[in-house]
Amino acid sequence: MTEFDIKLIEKIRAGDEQSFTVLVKCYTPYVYRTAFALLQDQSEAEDVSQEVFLKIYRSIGQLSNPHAFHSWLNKIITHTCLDRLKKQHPTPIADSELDIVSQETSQQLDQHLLIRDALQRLSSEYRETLVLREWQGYSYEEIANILGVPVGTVKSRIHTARLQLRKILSEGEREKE
Amino acid sequence: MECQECLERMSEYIDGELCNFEHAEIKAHLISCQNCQNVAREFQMLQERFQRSLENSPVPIDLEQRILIAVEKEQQKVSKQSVFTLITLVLLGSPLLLLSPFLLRIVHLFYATGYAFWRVKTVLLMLLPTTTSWGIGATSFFLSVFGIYMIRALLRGSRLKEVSL
Repeated sequence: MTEFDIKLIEKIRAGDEQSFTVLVKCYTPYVYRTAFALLQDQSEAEDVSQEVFLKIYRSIGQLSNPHAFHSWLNKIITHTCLDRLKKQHPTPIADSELDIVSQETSQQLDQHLLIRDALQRLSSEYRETLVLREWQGYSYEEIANILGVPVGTVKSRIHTARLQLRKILSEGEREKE
Repeated sequence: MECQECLERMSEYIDGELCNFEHAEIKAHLISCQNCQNVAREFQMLQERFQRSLENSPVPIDLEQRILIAVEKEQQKVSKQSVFTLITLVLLGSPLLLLSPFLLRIVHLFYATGYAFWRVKTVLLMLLPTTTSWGIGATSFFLSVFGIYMIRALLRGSRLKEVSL
């Protein structure tokens, strides 16, 4: 966290209205992208972003250490997204389905879309574990605590998710060529 | 170390989740094995691509504005709730207070004390010279005005802060 962020949090805690507006402007992209990576749904990610900032607004007074803001924010985003995922009907994708590369993917030239498409193809369990690791930077133990699964499960999910992602991406790139 | 074992632990190696000994073991294997080295490189590139892709993913333009509006609405809701709570408490509490003998006694006590003070003041002022009486009257007036001003300042300071767009 930068000095600017810490001062910003201190100002918000002191009741500065403008600083909260600045915080929203600074952190909206991060919150939205994390929510989108976990949920893979634009409108759900937008709803979650609003919910996250409302939670911050309501409870920032309880944050005693401004240096811990980033991890506190990540916890809020992750738990809000996981709650949403729990409410959704699970749609796990079998490994065999991963062999089918859609027409859409083969036409996409953009790397970003390729990764996004590959992420969508992962089952929600693999995706959330991978996002928590790769994007939010949680350790295996932290992920295990957040998801309520053993560390061994986290290890295997991350490894399998990477293998599947690699497979989907290489197939997509082959199709592109 | 066998390639199979190395590949199985590759994610943990990349993520720095292995102990020093295991890390060194895999590192040594990677130096001697081109195939495993390629997998390690691929995993690292995957991490970079993943992060770059998310960093570049578009964010809806008006999302910030919608969030700020939602926060403002929340704030207004909280203010309204506090006012309603206060009004409800007063409405619920006032009949009880008005009917209670305790309140009547308090009112009577205030009245009796006020009357006693008034009597004492009147007697004292009659005894004091005219200039002193006027001085006491003027000081009381200024103290009252100052008291009202202080109460207003205190109430202004305790108002809820609003988030503006």
